[in-house]
Amino acid sequence: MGEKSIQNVSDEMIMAFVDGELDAGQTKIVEHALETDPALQEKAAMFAETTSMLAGVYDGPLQEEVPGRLLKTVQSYPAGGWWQRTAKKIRRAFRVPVMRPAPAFALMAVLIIGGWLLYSGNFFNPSTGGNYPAFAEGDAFSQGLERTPGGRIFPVAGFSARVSPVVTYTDLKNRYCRRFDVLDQADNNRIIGRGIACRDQTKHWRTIVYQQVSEKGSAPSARSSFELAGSNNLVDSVMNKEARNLLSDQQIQALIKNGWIDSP
Amino acid sequence: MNSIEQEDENVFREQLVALLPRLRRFALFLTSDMTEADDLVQSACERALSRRLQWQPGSRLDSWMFSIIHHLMIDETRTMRRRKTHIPLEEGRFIATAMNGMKKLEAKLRLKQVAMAMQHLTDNDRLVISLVCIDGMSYKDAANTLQVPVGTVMSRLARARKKLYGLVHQRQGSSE
Repeated sequence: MGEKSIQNVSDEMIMAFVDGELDAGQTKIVEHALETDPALQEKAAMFAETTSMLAGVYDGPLQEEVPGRLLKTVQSYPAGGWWQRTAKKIRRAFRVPVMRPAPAFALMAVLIIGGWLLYSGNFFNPSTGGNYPAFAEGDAFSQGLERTPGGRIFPVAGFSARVSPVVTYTDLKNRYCRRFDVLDQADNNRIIGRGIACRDQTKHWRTIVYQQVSEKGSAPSARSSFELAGSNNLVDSVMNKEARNLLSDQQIQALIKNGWIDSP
Repeated sequence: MNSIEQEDENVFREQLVALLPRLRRFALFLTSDMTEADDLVQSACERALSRRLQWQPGSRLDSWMFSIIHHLMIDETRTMRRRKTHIPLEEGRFIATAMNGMKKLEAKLRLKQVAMAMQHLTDNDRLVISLVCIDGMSYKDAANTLQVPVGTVMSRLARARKKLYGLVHQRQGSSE
């Protein structure tokens, strides 16, 4: 044990030695240093004295009776509620660690906003509603919307359905979009579905929302006698939310004639 | 609540009751006033019970409770925008053992010197002294309670003890 070891003994090591916090090797180093260095001995005595001067000074609460109000609080204050127990069960089931409020809130916000974006189609354009028709992404369907004026009907080859563009508009993403009805092959008055398709940069009309229509009553004859399955007017609500400008028949005719080349 | 959960809760309350004297001593050291210390302990117990399920059985309940008291103390200090500057008035209740004559006088003198010296330490210094020198925690447990590395506990503790020693002996010198 040389001079180097003695020089390496810091105040923290002396203190840890006094408090019994050193391992055997470190204890030997400090013991050796203390034997030969009076200054270190003084430091050790100083640390020991700080402990002894505090000993007992604040021990009053250990000797006296605990006040009744504290006992009453501990014995009767309501413990964590059912929501905490439920949250703990969920955490255990999915092995999710306990989160601090701020990250938990941030995660919840991300999930809510992400869910809303997915629903509104800002990230993807999923069809919404039941039984998305196979033709709604086909070339015949796309060409039909490209060439058919509003209110007219065009057939979709290979499918027992016809399509009628109802409303044409430009949306918030600066696209041409058409709200269309899908009509029964045998009865043009019978709407079997409604949807919205928007024209993308490849000049293809892609369906962004579609919903089946269920029949209301036994034998309706008018289109207004039918209603959307599930939540009412989902297609219309999407259109109302996304539409920027509704286009007139003349504007639609011009676009069809010019091949929808004008940027909305 | 099923019977196991009820049993867990009862055990938790029993452990908390057993801890109360140490919690009061810790809070007394931080506040220097028994009434304020009891208020602090009561708030800490309420918070612990309302968040009981955040405590992991098997981990140290005392460290968790000290940590809660510490955070409540910080919150209170921020709210009150003031630092306690008074020293304990009822000196007798802080002296653990019955004493008489000269010994009692010495103890009172020591109490006064230590209590006044403590006012000159920072909150962090007082806290680490309280955990290690008064409650007898290991450096590791103190580090867990304060959520700092062991090295930080050691450096804070060494600095605080040197300062306390200097302050007490300075007062002793001036009073002699």
